[in-house]
Amino acid sequence: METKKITLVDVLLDDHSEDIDSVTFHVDQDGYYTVDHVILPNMDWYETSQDDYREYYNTIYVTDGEKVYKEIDGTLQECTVKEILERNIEGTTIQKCRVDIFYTAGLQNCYIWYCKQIFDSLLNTCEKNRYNDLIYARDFIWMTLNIIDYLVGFKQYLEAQRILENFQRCGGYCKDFSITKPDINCGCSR
Amino acid sequence: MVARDELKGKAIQEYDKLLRELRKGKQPKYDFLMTLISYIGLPVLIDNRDFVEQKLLNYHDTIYIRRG
Repeated sequence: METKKITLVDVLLDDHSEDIDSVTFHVDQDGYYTVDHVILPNMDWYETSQDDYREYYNTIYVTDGEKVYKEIDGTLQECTVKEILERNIEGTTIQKCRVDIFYTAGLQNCYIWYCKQIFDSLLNTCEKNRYNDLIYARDFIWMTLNIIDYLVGFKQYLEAQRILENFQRCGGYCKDFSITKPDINCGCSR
Repeated sequence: MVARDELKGKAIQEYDKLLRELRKGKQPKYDFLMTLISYIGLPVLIDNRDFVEQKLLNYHDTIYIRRG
């Protein structure tokens, strides 16, 4: 089973004029994400630094806090953030670190929703038949959440992603919780 | 003493097994996996934990096969 292709979710450029120690990104789907923190010199550095110092780098990238620029033949030309993320940073002005994040809030919300449904069905004697299905779904989601947690602990992010996609495709339990994939029925018994 | 990571590895194996059975259209029991995950999540150490952890780690379906 193939995991989804890599996509650039969001970009936040900040000139660090204020002391901020956290940033917020909007994420609407569960899964494996990487956050790259890229540090580039600003325009002041580019305009005031000595040529000897600038020649130390093969390629110069700078930012004005709104756009990212690359020096080509002595002039600055706008470039994409994607280029900076994908290229080898050796010999450039790019400094970066990467943090791996596995987001499961949608699945957790789904788990809570099933717990509430079980509680409601206990009070509603007309829905006794539904009770066992709800219990099964809740257990399955709980097991999946824990297994993903273990895999993330082992730093096996892609395997955790595979488990999550497998669950989303075959289970069909959490369609209303930020999961856009269709239920294609993988021979599941329920 | 069994490392907690070994139990987690066992849980991952059991979950894979469960998914394989589900894909075949079967209705496998998942009691053992629930027990294993619950045990891993226990915040305290219990008495006889060596025995319990070895039992969990070495659990497999063949223990139900009766001799001759």
